Amino acid sequence: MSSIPRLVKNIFKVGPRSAFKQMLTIGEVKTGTLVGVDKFGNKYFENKEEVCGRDRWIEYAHYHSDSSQIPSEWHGWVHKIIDEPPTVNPPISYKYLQEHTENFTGTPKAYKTYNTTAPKITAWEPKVLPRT
Amino acid sequence: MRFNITLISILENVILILPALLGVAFVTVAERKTMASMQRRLGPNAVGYYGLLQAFADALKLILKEYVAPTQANLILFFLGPIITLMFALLGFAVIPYGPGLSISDMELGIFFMLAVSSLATYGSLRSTAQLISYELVLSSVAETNRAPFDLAEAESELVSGFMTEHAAVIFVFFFLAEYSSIVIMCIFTNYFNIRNILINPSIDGLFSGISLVPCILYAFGVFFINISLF
Amino acid sequence: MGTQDETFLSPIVMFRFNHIAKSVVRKASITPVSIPRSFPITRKFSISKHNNASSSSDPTQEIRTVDKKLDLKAPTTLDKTAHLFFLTEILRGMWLVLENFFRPPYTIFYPYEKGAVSPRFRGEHSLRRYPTGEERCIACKLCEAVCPALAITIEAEAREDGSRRTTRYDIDMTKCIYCGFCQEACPVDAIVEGPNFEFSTETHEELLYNKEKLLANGDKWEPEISKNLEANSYYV
Repeated sequence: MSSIPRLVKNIFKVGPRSAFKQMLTIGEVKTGTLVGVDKFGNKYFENKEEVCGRDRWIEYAHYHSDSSQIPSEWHGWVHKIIDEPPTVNPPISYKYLQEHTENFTGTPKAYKTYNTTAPKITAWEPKVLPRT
Repeated sequence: MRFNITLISILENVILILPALLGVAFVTVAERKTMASMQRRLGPNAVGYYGLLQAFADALKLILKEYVAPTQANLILFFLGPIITLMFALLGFAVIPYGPGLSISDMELGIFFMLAVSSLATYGSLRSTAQLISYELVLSSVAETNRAPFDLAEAESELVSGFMTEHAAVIFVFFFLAEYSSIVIMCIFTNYFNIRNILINPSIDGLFSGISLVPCILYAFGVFFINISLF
Repeated sequence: MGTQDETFLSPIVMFRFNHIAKSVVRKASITPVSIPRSFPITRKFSISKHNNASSSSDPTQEIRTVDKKLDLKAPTTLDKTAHLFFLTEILRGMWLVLENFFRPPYTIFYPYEKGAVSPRFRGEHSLRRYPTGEERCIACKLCEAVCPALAITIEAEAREDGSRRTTRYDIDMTKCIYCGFCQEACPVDAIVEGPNFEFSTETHEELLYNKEKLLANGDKWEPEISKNLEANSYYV
């Protein structure tokens, strides 16, 4: 879907700064409707005239973008599991739901496994009686 | 300062070889991008902008690698082979006129020198010798560069890299550079034969005069195109 | 009929040999010869009947014949030789490559554009809760029993209020083969394989999930898991 006239047209439409950013990330300049912004600031775009598979895209809020930064509500829309974005069809909300976190591997916040049961073997604690 | 003729000639060669090797490096990237576009892929696009520095990343990786030599090999010849190949591949750049009277050595029989040297630079053993005898023609510069469909010596699709199997690390870089510089030289060579009477005479005005580099690029594209579509 | 003209022209135009063949066949087709299909169509490799390789019985009885029409558009030997000589197949292949050169690539730029995923996708595990916040798992150990990779370990105890709950629910994600048997086996829809597949880690021990991690996964991914289960509810 990329041709030079289309590229020039889209650069004028989205502005030079966004165009440069898009060239670095998705390799071409696309224009689309802003479907929504999630609570972390990631922007979600859609243009159904694009090639199948490239019609929904994300502009991450962070420079160090990782795909695990997409929260659960938007994950289904980005992966085309559902058609309606959460702005149209709001997700369920329970009291117990937690804040979405990205994959923290390689950082100090990484998950470290631990035992959830009480220890079945108790260690022998030697008690030294005073000498009489 | 005294006029030191040796120093000047060394400097001349360095000034020639460095851009030549740089050009060869970018030709490898161009080949990979062309091949990717024809197979509807992207090719290298991460290193540098648009993947332009991919060749340097590859070279750096190969240089940092450990070299391995077969136990029964003659070590001198084993390491000398790629070096000789690269030297003969680069010797062709010596007779190319870059501008009016601007070349390392202004030979009388420069074309024949190029032919001879490029024949020596095509490496391999009996396979490539047999191939050279079969296809030694000016028009079949594809055969001269040992690319598909004439890649009998390397035979990438049948053998595991052919004769390059044992070579790793730096000496593999030498083979790689030799292969692509022979492509570059063949493109320039074809350019001298084909367009000198039509628009411009590159053998007098030089390689950088007018549009005489443009056909070179087209020939390179042709070599890649034939290589990819007949793989 | 134009057969006379064609036979007259054919020596002049070399590639018109085809038309001679056509005209001959047209003449023949005036009186069609039909092959009678009186014999029954039998299975060629019958298992009930023994067929000898030698002609103890008539082998033609076994062969099914189809009266095939002569293909008039089939290339002649001359056509084939011409194609071979002028490398037309290679040129057609090169044209195909050149066409694709000017078409866009199929690549999806992964972290910015993502591929389609099924609602039944079997990714990272999570333990779900009831809307009240009560955990669903009742420690029946069906998932542990059905797990073909023996990746699940469960220990259970009575809670303070007397209900049966797990104290340990460990999944070794490096053992897991993501077959989805655990979520099939679960009677209360507690263990599910969610849509998340981006949980790769740098170390092995980060993939040894315990109960707290699985519950936390469920709390994070419940909005999407519930939607996927809803989409699949028609087929269960």
